[in-house]
Amino acid sequence: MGPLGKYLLRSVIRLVIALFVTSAIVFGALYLAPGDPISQLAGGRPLTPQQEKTLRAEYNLDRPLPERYVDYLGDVLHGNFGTSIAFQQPVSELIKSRIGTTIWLLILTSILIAVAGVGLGVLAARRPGFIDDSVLISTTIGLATPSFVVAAVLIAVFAVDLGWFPIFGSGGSSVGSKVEHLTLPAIALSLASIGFVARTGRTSLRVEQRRDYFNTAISRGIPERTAFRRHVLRNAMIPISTAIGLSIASIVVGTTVVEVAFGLNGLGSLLVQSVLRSDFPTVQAVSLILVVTFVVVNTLVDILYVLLDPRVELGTANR
Amino acid sequence: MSLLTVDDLDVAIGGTPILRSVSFALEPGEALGIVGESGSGKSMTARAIARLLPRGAVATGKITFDGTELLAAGTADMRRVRDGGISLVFQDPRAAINPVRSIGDFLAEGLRTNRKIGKAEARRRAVQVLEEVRISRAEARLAAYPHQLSGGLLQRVMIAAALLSEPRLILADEPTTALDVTTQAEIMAILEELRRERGLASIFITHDLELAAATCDRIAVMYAGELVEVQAAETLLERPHHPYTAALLAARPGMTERVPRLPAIPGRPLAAGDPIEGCRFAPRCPLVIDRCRSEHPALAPCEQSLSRCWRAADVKVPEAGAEQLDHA
Repeated sequence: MGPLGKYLLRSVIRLVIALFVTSAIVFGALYLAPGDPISQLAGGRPLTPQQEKTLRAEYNLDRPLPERYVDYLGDVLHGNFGTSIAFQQPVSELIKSRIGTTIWLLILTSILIAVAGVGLGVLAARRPGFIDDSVLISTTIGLATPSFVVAAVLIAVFAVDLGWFPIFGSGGSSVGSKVEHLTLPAIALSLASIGFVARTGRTSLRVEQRRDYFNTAISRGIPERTAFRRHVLRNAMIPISTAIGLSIASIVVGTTVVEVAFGLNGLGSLLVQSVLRSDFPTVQAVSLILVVTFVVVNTLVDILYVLLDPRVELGTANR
Repeated sequence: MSLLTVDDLDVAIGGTPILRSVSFALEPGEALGIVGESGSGKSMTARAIARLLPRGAVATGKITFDGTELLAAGTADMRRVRDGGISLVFQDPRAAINPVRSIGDFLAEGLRTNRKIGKAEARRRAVQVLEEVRISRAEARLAAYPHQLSGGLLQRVMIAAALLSEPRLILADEPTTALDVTTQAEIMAILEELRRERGLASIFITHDLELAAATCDRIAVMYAGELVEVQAAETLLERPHHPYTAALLAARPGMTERVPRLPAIPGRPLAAGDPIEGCRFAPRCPLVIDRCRSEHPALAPCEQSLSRCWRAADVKVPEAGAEQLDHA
């Protein structure tokens, strides 16, 4: 196996370990959390010990924790997340009906972060003075504003006042309708990350621009724009892609706030609803999916390193 | 007609002078060594010729290469000069070659971008030029990345890349400073051989006066932002006409005898920006007279040399290893 294969294998092993640990934490944490699902199920009515015992058996709450975890893991691997206590239907079906919206939202947001973040970074790095200052100021504002505030402003201005976008809902199944409904939520979700990526980009592009190899390219008669793309942007993409990867991983969690603010029926709003109703199986499943997405995105960034930086695979990258 | 003329070149950064009225000419095929200590302006002269001055540096004067006025040249003219006119070899090849691109990619870049030469042809030429700088297994090296090659090998790649555009002038800015001594000798031998074979003119920037004298036709010595002496290499070592050149020669350790302490030039080197009325070497000069402190000398002929010194004719032949300047 070549060094690249070994590196990929290590990444996958790390991924599996991370998934194992996080699933245990998600599973364990819920049983430490306050609020008993049985009283939630009973809806406040007093239960006889017999009734309670039956319910506990039905939801597998009567067996020791490690045993339940092993069963849970086995079920999850078969795509069985149990039955929702609040919605009284299989969690996997709930997720299936909600996941589309969240995936669309994540895709749109990722595109926005990558395109606007890198674009603003390049603009700021190449145009010192007014444009650079404007980018710095606006990204500071973007970074400092919480997404629910951004959401409220966007809804007030672009949906209510100007009427350019719908106020509410996830839209139909067509791409056009999805984009129309999810553009404002994606902007709200991406604004802080765009600022982060743009600033990381600006700094690393500035550093790369001062490197000798950029001068070498210029000294050989390579046009400035081409040299910038090949030697400055290309090398700066190593830190920039880390910033993008980290951002995309963190917005997975941010979907909860934005989905609720825009009334989207995605996984994030499902998580909030099920937490409020102590719907343990659903909370577990959604948390697990969000954490898995986070870990997988990070693994993808690790793999991207090898493609971007030939020094990584030998473990000699130092800069 | 001279291949390159530098005429009254001044460079200043933020109003502080870095170069003061540098003038010289270079004939086709000639090898010129520019020698000086750090801060003397030797690298800045090279950067001005290559139009790679740092941001904020202002160059005035005239640099003419092969009929093109470089300081006034537009982007297109400058690209023509850079592709096939002047090629650069930098001090540290590890910093001058992009670490994330392969050697083959680095070599072919100029050919592919500037001359629209196809992939296969560019590759063929890259292999050929790697063999010319005596790199073994040239074909296989194309796929390697800079971090997989040694410093000496990488500097040869740099030289190969400089040759690929078939330049008329090679500008080498301390090409051996970052390398160990045996590698230095190899690199110098390769540069020398290629220069003779191809009839290239070259400017070799170094702080090593003897190395320059051994490999160049003519030597220009710089001190505090100006040229202080220009003379043919073969006579310079025997008959310097500037006290600074003489002091540099005296400061080299002798090859035959042990000295208790290496001789050094007394005093602190002046920066190009330091305002001073008379000769810029006067504060450290053993031959100083009153006139030196009040009147700035011009670069003037003295026997076979051009020297910026009021007492050019009185400069003594130094003895290697001798601490002749110790009285200061």
